Formats: sequence, structure tokens, C-alpha cells
Amino acid sequence: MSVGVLSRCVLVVRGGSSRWWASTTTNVTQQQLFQQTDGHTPLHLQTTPPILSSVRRVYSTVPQKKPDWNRAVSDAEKIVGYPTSYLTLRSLLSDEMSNIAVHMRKLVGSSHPLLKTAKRLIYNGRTNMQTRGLIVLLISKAAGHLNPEEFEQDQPGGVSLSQRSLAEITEMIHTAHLIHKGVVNLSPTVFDGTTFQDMEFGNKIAILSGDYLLANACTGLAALRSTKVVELISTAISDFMEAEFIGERDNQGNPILNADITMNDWEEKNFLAAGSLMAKSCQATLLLAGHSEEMQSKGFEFGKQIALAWQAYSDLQPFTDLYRHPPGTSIDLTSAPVILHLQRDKSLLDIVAKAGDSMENCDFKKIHQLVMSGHGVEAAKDLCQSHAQAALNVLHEVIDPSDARTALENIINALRIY
Amino acid sequence: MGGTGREEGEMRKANNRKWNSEESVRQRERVRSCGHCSRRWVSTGVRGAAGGALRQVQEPDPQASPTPSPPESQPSSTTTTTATASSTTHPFTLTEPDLHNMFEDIKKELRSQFELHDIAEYYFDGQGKAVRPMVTLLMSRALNIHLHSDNRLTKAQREVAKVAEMIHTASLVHDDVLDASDKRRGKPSVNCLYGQRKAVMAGDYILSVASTMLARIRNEEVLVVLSQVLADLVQGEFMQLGSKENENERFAHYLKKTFKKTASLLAYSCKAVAILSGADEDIQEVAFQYGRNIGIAFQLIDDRLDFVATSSEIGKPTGADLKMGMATAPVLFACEKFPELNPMIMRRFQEPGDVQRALELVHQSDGLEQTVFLARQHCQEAIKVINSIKSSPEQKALITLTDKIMTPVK
Repeated sequence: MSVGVLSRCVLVVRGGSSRWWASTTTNVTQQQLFQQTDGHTPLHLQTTPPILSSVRRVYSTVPQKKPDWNRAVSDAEKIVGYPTSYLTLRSLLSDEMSNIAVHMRKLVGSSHPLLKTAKRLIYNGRTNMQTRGLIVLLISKAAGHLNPEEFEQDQPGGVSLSQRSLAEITEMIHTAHLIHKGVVNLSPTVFDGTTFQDMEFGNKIAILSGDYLLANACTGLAALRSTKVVELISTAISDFMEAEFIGERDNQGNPILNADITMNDWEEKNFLAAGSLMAKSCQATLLLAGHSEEMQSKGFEFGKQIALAWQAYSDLQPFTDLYRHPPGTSIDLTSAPVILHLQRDKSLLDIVAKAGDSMENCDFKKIHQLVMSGHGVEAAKDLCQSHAQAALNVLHEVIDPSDARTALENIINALRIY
Repeated sequence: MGGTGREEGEMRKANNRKWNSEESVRQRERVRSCGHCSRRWVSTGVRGAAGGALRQVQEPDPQASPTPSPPESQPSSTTTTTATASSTTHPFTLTEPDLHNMFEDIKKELRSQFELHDIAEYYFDGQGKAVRPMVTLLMSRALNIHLHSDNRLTKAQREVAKVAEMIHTASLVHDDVLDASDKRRGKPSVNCLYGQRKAVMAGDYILSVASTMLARIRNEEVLVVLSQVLADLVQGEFMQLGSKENENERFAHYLKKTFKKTASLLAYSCKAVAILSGADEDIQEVAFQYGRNIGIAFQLIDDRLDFVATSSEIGKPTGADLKMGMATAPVLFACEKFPELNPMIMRRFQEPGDVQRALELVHQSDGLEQTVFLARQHCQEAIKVINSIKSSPEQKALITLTDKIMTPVK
């Protein structure tokens, strides 16, 4: 990034156009935007200015004794040159995004899901959304580059420019999907006058900003000059959409629990919803680096396994992190612990049936209580462990030890704390 | 004239690409997107105004429906070098055989085991006018004759025609959600039937499948060219959210928006098939300029219709654009004679009586005539560029097409 871009960035972040962030969150300052903010990351690791951190440095990454997600991520970011969290800033700087920011202020105070997504983009909490790009960068660096002529110029962090671009595109596509997923079904019978208007307007902004990210992802992909990579990533986008239609849904697209659901369904859905993009991005970055097809398929497997481990980890959060998820908050009814619990206790179905055609009305407190008292949580922890182990196995099989590999191991181990 | 996309002729070395070969030249310069000038939007109430998106450009010819047409119109699939212009230069009859199976092929591509399939294929029912694939196919054959004396389509060109229709449809699906339209081509819109959420997903799905098909052509250049269309479509939508404060910039803003929202897809699809036919930079530019000019003419005539048609004629009420807050060419022209339109444009015709008053003023001015004049100019330009290639039934049809565009004003 040039100085000019940076000063614009400060403008965007500080200027009126972004006040919706500040007003929806308590006190997000510009400084915080550049950091991994959640209080867990040691301060000395947070203060690296984004521009300076692109200068290659030597970090000795040691296997962590006590696995910690935030520590693993912030260490890993330094290995690949600069943190991925700044990547999407580039798109935040465009006219279109400042335009969106202006309009999004009008949504403040409404309950449109877009606000929650926007907040999560700024707050990189435990479910750090930028980690997908980071994993792509790490696997790129860990596997090395076999096309020396493509790799000639300045490559901070040992990752080629096209790989860096791919990592950014991975993030953009994922973010676009999150935003589009937040589009709500409008029905005058569900929302009253002003709420209806708010929701309609929120949808408009959500569609436009998602489309904007997708269009940028497509031009970025085309610029990579690899039709195979474009094909891989395009099919990953299709998979996202398929995931939205798999299984039964309520009137707002929330999954419904039914009696026949199995863990195969869980894996199929979450491969489409999470694994596919991760798997294909890892495969694509190895393709860009000139690795063999066999190696590429290992990349695919690695991406898939780490994504499924991550999904199982996220599914466990409502049952293990009661501070962030107090009992009674909504739970994904097709998350691993719930499905696993259902296998032994069909009484869950009665609770779901009572909710009618909107899962929002479920008695989540009761579901939480039931699942916590059964075997579902333990079984989900095993599931998380086994996918994490599978990811580690692939890593150890095909990647030589290095800083980057250790960083990936640390991230995986942080998912295995249960 | 708009001039958008013009600068995109910044050039690369001439390359001998092999006819019909899949190899493409690496590391060529990226096509620069047109008009990255600094813009300041006036954010006048987006609420209820964001719409209008790439509406199905009104295609005047009723014969376009894909009911089987006389087989004699089928261009011979053997080498026809100097086919003289005959009665078979009608753009619709000429491409009918190619278009006939296209919708079925597209539906096959949108294979999904879920409800997603039904939603995604909903608009590929053959009821659309398929203007974009038609132009793309005519351009392909015309250039293949020009360059190789062979009017046969390549598989890749056929794919581009499909992709053009898919990109168009995907944008329609999203636009209907944005504009809250509940009707499209005489049937309920996707969002009306399946809800907004699924409609958005289906639009994304169509786009991703189109992108996959495009990638499988294995031509990097074509990917770069057509991905620009997606960027343009979104930018055009954003441009529609705001209007220019400065009256002098307003018309340029409008033309640029028109290029991005309507002409870009035609221009870049034409360019893509030119690349696939092995055309050099000059011929690629001919294809691009033809698509750009008819695209803009198309939209100008469509915008004019909004002021003259009765609701039964085009299926939307007069002044629909105005009601959505959009100031199109007729209003912008009328502005010169009636400056009182300026504040109305700025407030996006939101005050009571604005729409009615604007309609009256447009009719009192020569805004409609000027719009037609401008459209005609763009058609002339399109004819001029396409006349630079060898004559053939398809090339003649491309010229005839400009007439068809102007039909509603005759």
C-alpha cells in the first residue's frame, strides 16, 4: 500500500462515512481496526503498523505449549509478511464501499443481520473471519514455490503476489457469502411498517455490497491468469449456494432438525458450506506454485479437514463458551452436538416442532440444557479432534518442517483444546 | 458521446493467435476498467430509489420468441464465403437455430440436486428475448467469416453466448430483489415466489456456474474481458444510487452508468468472441464498439419508452423510472429548457407531484426527440464500425438489428 492509499484509508476509517461502525460498537478507533482486538493478544504483537510489517523479518515460531487461538493466529500472520486482516481494507477504500458505509448508517438501530456481519468484520474475535486467507498464505509458504521465474520480484513473507491475491479473494468470497446469507425474507405479515422498510433497505445494501465483493473477486481471479484456478474457486462459490439449500429450512432459511439427520449430512453440508472454499483455495495456491496434482490433492484434503475441524469447534462454542453464548441464545439446530445428541434422545424433535415455521421461536434454553446433559458435546469434541488430527497428518506427510508449518500446527492445535 | 470503454483500447502487441486454439497468451496487460475517475456521490435517499437495474431491455420485435421458425433461415453450416444479403439477414431468424437449444443447455449446466435448480432455471424458459446471445452469436459468425471465410461457430463462442445470457439473468434476479419487483416477463419474479433470500442465492449460483463455464473455455483473455462486465454491473448499480450535483457532469454520469449497466455486457461479449475467433486488436475493437454502441442505443430507447408507452404496451407504468428516482436521458435533455427540473432530480422526484410535473415538462421539451437523435447516432456509429468487416448474412443482420432497436420510434 502506498502512503496515499493509507491516508485515504485513515480518511475512510475516521471520516463520517464510517461512523456506523463507531455508533454500533462501543468505541472502535482507527488503531483498533488495524489490530486483532479481543484482549487476548499480547500488546507488543498488536502494535506493528501494517505497512512496516510487510518488511520481511525473522520470527522463530515455536510450538505453543498452551494452545491459544489468538496467539496462534497473530504469530502466524507475522510469518507470511503482513496480516490478512488488512487485505480487505483495499476494498473498503473504494468509492463503492464508502458509499455503502454512508447508507449503512441508516440501518443502525435496526435488527438487520447485515449489521452483525459488519461488526464481526471489524471485531476479529475468536471466530476470526480473516483466518481463511491466512491459512492459504501459510500453506503457500510452507509448501514453497516451484516456479522460480514467477517468484522473482519482491515477495514479502515468501508468498508470491498471485498467492497473496488468491488469499484475499478467498476472504472476499467468504465475506460476500456471509453478507448475502444475511438477506432476510420480507413479508409484511412478519414485519410492521418501519421494520419492513429497514429490512428492505438493509437487504438492498447487503445485496449490493455482496455483489461488489463477488465482482471484485472475479476480476481478481481472472487476473491470476490461470483458468484452472478460476474453475476451482467458481465451483467453490456454487458449493456455498448448494449448502444453503441442503436440508429442511424454516421461513428465514434457518436449518430445521428432522428425525433422519445423520453425521453424514453434517459432513456433506459443512463440506459445501465451509470445506469446499478452504479445500479448493489450498489446492489452487499449490497449483499456482507449480506443485504436482498429487500435492494439490493433498492441499485439498488439508483445507477440507482444517475447515471441518474448525466447523466442529465453532459448533461447540454455544456449549463450551457460556460467557459469549449464554444459554437461551439461538443455536444452529444442525450443529454437531445437537445432531449427535439427537441420535440418543429424540425428545429434541418435540421442542423443534413446537417452534412452528420459524426456528427463532425455539426454546433454545431447553435444547441447551438437554444437549449439555447428554453425550453430544463429548462426541462433538471427538469429531473436532479427529478432523484436526487428519489435517495434521496431511501436513506432516507432505510438508517439511518450517516456521509456516509450525504456525499451521499451532492453529490446528488451538482447535483441539477440548 | 459517452466515450466510456474507449480508453480500453490501450494496447498490447499484436499476437498471432491460432485459429480456434485454446492456448492464450500469458501476462498480457489487463483490460483497464473504464472510468476510475474520482466520484462523489450525492447520497440522496436511496430508500426506494436504488433500483431500475438492468431491466430487460425492451426488445421491439415480437418474432423473437423461440417458437420454431422456418428452417430455410438456417445459415448453412458449410463454408459460405461471399453469401450475398438475402431475406435471411433478419437477426432473429438467422440465430434462431443456435438459440433454439441454448436454454436447454443452460438448464443442464445449472444442475443441482436441490430446489436451487428450480429457482436458478426459472428464467431460462425461452420466454426472454435472448438479445445478448443473439448479438454474440451473430458477431461470432460474422467475424469467423471475415477472418476465416467460415461461418461455423466454435464451441467456445457458443459458451460465451450462454454465459452472456446467464450473467444477464443473474443480474435480473438480483435487480428484482433490489427493486422489489414482483413480476418479470409476465410471471411472478423469483423473489416473489421463493423469497428474497433464495433469490439472492440463486443469482449468485447462476453467476458462479457461468464463471465455471467460462473458465473451462481455457482462455485467460476471455476471462479477463468478461469479469470486467461483473465489475461494471455493480458499479452501474452504485452509480444509480446517486446523482451528480453538477448539472454538466450529470449527462456524462448517465451515459457512463448506461454503459456499465447495459452496454458493457454486449460490448465485452462481442469482444470475447472476437478474441476467440483469433481477431487482432483492431477487429476486437470493432466488436467492442459495435456492442457498446447498440447497447447504449438500446437503453436510450428503453428509457424513452418510460415516458411514452402506456402500461399495456411494455408492461410497466409510465414514469416508472421517475418513480424510482432515476433521471434518464429525456429528463436530462428537458432540463436544458426547464431548469426547474434540477431540484426535482436532486430530490429524486420524491415530493408529491414531482413525477407528474416532470412527465409534463419532458413532453413540452424536445427531450424525447433528442433522446432518439442520440440513440440514432449510436446506431450509426455501430453500423460504421461493423461495415469495416466483410459482408455476410450475419454482418448484414447486425446492421438490420440497429433498425430493430429504433423500431419503437418509427
